Amino acid sequence: MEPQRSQSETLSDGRNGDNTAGYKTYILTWLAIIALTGITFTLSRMGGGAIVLALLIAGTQAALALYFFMHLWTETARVFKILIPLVLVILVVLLSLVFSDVAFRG
Amino acid sequence: MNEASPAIPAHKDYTGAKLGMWLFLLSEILLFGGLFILYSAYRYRYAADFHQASREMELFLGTLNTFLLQTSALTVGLSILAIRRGNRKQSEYLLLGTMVLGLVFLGIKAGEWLAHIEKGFYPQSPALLARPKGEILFFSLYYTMTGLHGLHVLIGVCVLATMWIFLRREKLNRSYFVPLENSGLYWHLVDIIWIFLYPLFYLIA
Repeated sequence: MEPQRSQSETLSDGRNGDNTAGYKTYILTWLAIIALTGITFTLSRMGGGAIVLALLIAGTQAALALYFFMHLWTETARVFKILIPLVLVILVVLLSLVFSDVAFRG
Repeated sequence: MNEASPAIPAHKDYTGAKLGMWLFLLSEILLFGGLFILYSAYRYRYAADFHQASREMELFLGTLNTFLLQTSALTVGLSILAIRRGNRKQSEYLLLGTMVLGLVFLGIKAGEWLAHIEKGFYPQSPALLARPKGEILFFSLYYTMTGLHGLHVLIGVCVLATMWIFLRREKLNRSYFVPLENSGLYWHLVDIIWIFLYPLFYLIA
């Protein structure tokens, strides 16, 4: 009979988990996100911060959080790599359709 | 039951549990996405009014809250890492810290709301209705979006408190931590939503 594998053993095989992500990864991600908040705050105080730039910075922060904090970088199940971008694409399609309607309405 | 029937170990499906959580989170993204679409449509039409109304926001408090929530995302992440490495006590303290940061966030948010209400800016208030249409819409969106987000923070704190009790009762350990992992995912989503609310309401003045 095969020896029973506990979940932690499965994880240390590199499947399903992020045993390579240590404290350092989390702290560096946090520092990057905080630094970007500082940049977007400073830009807006200087009056040069266009909303597009602020949203680009927010998008970068969200991507960092998704990738490192939410473990997408170590997720091996393919379903995550398909589902999440798919929903984001749906959102962008909805946004652009509504926006094009509003912008070209008489 | 005859004695030949084998004992069936509890079925724990790590990927399945996380997939379920992600499906829920994606539906949350679409829920808030609808509000973001509404915001952009009205902002496009009433850009000047939105700029004007945004001056009413307390930039310092909004930035402080952003910092608090982003730091709480770090502590919840480290809490999960700690339990995965078998440091139960450390995991408990980090989770407690996350909850405190979440509650301080809510306290500051409540203070901001009260300050707006004291100034007479609340839905259907005479002072607000006397303003241009775009400013009324801005405040409606502000209350709806930060209110719905605040509700999520409150629910998140309750979920994390449940996880904290699970940790205390040793129901979670280094080989079974997926409830905490999923609660962490929820908390991160709440943080990400705020990351977008912050520039849209505080940084457009």
